[in-house]
Amino acid sequence: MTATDAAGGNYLLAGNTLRSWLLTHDHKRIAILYTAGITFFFLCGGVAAALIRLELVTPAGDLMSPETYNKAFTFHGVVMVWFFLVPSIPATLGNFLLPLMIGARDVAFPRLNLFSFYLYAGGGLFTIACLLAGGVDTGWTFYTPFSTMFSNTHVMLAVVGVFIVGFSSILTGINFIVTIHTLRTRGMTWFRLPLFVWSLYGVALVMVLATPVLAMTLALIALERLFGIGLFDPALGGDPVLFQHFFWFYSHPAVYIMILPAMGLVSELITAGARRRIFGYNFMVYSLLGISVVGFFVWGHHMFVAGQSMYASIVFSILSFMIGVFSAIKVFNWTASLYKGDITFSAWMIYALGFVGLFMLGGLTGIFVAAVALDVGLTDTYFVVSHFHYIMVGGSVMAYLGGIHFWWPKITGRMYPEMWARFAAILMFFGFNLTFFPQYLLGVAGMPRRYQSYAPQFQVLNVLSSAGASLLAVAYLMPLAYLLWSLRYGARAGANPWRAAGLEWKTTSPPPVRNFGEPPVVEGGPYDYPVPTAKVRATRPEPAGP
Amino acid sequence: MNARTRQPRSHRSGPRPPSLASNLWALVALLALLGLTAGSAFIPMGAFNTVANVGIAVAKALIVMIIYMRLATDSPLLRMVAMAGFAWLALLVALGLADLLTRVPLLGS
Amino acid sequence: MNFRPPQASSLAASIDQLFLAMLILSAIVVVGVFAVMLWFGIRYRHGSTANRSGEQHRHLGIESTWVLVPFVLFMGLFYWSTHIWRELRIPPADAAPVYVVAKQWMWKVQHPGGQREIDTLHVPLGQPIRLIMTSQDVIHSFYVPAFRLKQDVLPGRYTEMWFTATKEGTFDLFCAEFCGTDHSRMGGRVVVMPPAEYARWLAGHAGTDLAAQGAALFRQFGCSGCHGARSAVHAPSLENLYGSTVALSDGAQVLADDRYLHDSILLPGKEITAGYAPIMPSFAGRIGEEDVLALIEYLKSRGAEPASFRGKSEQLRQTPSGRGTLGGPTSTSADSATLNNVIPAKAGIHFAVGSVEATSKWIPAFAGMTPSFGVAPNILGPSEAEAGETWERSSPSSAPGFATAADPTAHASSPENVTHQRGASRDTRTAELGLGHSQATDSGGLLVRAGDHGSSNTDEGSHDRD
Repeated sequence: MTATDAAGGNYLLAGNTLRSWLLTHDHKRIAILYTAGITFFFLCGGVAAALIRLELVTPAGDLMSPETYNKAFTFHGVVMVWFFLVPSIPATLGNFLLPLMIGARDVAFPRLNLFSFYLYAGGGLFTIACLLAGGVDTGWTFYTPFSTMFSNTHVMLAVVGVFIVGFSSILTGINFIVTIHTLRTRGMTWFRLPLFVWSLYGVALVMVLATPVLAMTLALIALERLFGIGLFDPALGGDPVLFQHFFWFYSHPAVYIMILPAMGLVSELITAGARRRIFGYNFMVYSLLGISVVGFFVWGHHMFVAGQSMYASIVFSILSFMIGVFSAIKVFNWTASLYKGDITFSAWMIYALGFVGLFMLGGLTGIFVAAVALDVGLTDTYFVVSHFHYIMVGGSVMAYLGGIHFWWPKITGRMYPEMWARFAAILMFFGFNLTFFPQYLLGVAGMPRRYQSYAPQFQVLNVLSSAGASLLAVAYLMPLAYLLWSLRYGARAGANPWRAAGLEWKTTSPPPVRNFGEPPVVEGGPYDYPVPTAKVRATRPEPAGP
Repeated sequence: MNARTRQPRSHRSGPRPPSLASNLWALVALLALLGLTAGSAFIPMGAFNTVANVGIAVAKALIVMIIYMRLATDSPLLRMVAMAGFAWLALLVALGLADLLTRVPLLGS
Repeated sequence: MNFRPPQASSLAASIDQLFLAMLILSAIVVVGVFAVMLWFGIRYRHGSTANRSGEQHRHLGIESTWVLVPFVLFMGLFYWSTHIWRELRIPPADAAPVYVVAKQWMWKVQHPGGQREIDTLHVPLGQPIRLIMTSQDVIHSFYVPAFRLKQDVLPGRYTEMWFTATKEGTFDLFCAEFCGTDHSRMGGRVVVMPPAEYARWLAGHAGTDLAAQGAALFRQFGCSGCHGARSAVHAPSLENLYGSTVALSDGAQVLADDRYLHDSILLPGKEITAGYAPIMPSFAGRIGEEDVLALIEYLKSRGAEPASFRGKSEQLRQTPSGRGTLGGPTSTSADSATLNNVIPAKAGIHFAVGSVEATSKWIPAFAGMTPSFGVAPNILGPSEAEAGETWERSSPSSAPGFATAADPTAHASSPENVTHQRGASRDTRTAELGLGHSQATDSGGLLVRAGDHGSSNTDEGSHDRD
């Protein structure tokens, strides 16, 4: 690492004391702190998932007590949603790449960025404390009156943990919005922004507008538990369904917090893999923003059978179909972007194409449950469980891992073993389908979710699903192993090993502390492919040679 | 390492931040209104109780927005952001009411 | 291998048609996109000699196609699904009511003729059935996969669901909304019988008519002391109340439907009839939902006018604004905001955990009900198979262990205290269930029904419905 230009040395070498990491203001280092955090929570949530799948191998609830099972799926849900999926792409890759992609030195509020990481860590501590104290059994949805009056578990600790982590996500959102508005480099107009930046913008808006409602709702749960104010308590004149309105007003947009950055990220991967401009850039941008906005109008589709008025359900149903239109645009455009491309199937491209396939399956089944008449039978069954796992795991996690592979050389300056990575990606695709496709069939057969013991006719499919889960577990552990291995033994990466477009590839790998020597000037739109290998414009400081 | 060539954008934070005294007065006013809300609960006024309480709540919200959030004196951008927040809250209330107001009463045969 | 459960209700077939149509559409999209992706992947792989020349054109036409085609398709599907949804939500006028009370972790069914069942629902083939459901504690969900139907069951509120069974047999009943420890064991079955057999079943299990039970409760809880004809207390008359429009003291008007009667018993301070003092004590925590249902049935029997009332009911079902024409409960904004429950009752009682002798008529008995059991029999285990036949056995009415579960003062000011109280009430519940288990073992490992309403039950005032 010899980058000793005016931009400062390689950010990884800019100090190796613990203090230089924990008190850093560098968005790149904060991204790495976040990565460590979400990896930890992903493993925690994964262990809970493994326990659940293990329990469901047999129809009888014979592995653990019902309480333990309930706590396991609650822990899985809380951790995976708030401590892994919501921060996963925005806080790690988003944090790392946003300033690089728009040619900035850092985010707009570096200290706020660090603070939001500590909020995340603080919320995480409460959640771990909750687990150590004995766990919570309400499900991640905290439905009243169960959570307020009937659960004897540590609801308060969990609620406080999620409450705190919510503020972390609000602060990240504010930071991103201000950064994108004010720190774009010269020539980086709005419609030259990479789609990943657009998606972060959409996500940031959703975070800022939706998360306060979550905070309010959780505060009301706390007040209800502590003082019995009765807002959700029918015995005091409250309405438990009101809670569901509040909760889903946040939690449905939260799904878009998880999937929107994945969509943006995959657009980057597909264009780089196909060496082709994205098909229909403007439509991609509008559909991203469309999902961000319309995503706020559809929360009632979680409540079709919850005692919501049938007329409200009709309104929410038609709005939910609209989301389907936006998603369809994206899937078709990704596919069309391959046309006349020069396609290489690197590991990250396999992840990206896997994402498109799984997201499409998840999205199409979303149309099933947007149709009220079908949702009546399918909601609260494994059909829904499978549907949202296809979106969140098949979608977001595949995209996240694809992004990690794609930018790994940029982040660490090292190459990972390509063959292992391809094998893991393919294994993950098949493992995922084996795990979750049987769950669609289980839902169609009528198995309700959150069941510890089940009727014997559901066993075959559950066993298949559990078998798939074990493959999936292996597939998830493999990247962890070889990526860590590559940190020490991987070949050194050049500035642009994939010959990709995008400002982040025009600086060294790993980038210097201040990202760019001279602020880069943008002259064309994003995805300026094909990039002739010999003619990469070297207006940036000399890339560090391997 | 030049300064950024882009035209710098500055955050114009109003003429001046509200003074400590005005903050304290706002606090006192809020507490007084809180007392009024609590007090009104003891006076039976029928449906007018609700009207009074909503009125007091609006007054409180205005105090917070004008004095604490500086919406009156700060840049229009800030007002726009605050309005977006309100629009979203209105959305929650409107679609929530779409449920509550159209629930069909249950009638047996 | 067919994963779909049998189509056992009148709407199941049309729902399955919609499902199949969407499945075919989805399959076309999936196969199409995968095929195109594969073709591009092979043809334009790195190193292939495919022709890549030509600019990327403006592709507004293509884009518009795949915006508009999905949009039109989705609107068609939306229309189709909403059409079924309307049918699914609006019960036919001749639907026969059956009452369901959900409780952690069992389903209690009451037929108007006084037949009672736990975790089993007997219905006749071909007759529309309307379930009127409420929960004693948390939210549950009544789910019969073979009917393709599901409806959440909420505490403090009635929700309804209707169906016409079209296939004889026994079908799974599940609780689909997470409701606590034994959620996965809160199930049962729906037994569909030919009408003649069903009539025999009804006759064989007839108890005191539900309205008559209500009449007995009306005296037992002392309602008649104030609302009786010769009472000295100034209380509204309950004759011809059900279905009428009641003027309230705050000037609003409200339709006296099931919800109104339910809330008037449990939250009497909420809607005060004009001209009367708010002196009625709350019965929250003192009366179970099953008994409230019986009382409402009794009040219905006291002079409701079924024909004209049905007309109103229909009108209300047609349009939400129909209620306005009746001078219904939308008259004040407060009412509208939380149609069900507005004014907090004075007593901070969690009625959900409160259960007194009047409500504890059943004891759940199979071991799965005991939360601490690591290994529990499956809900469809062999012991369940005959449960529907044997639960009817009665045992002494004074089942021990049914002390009031919740102290009415459970809402103490200190948080610690609240938690402990809550814990205590749960423990009592557990003890209850454990006791149920041991009793059940004594009586054959099945369900035990502990007593009836006692000697005060008579057939007087029984109301013949249909």
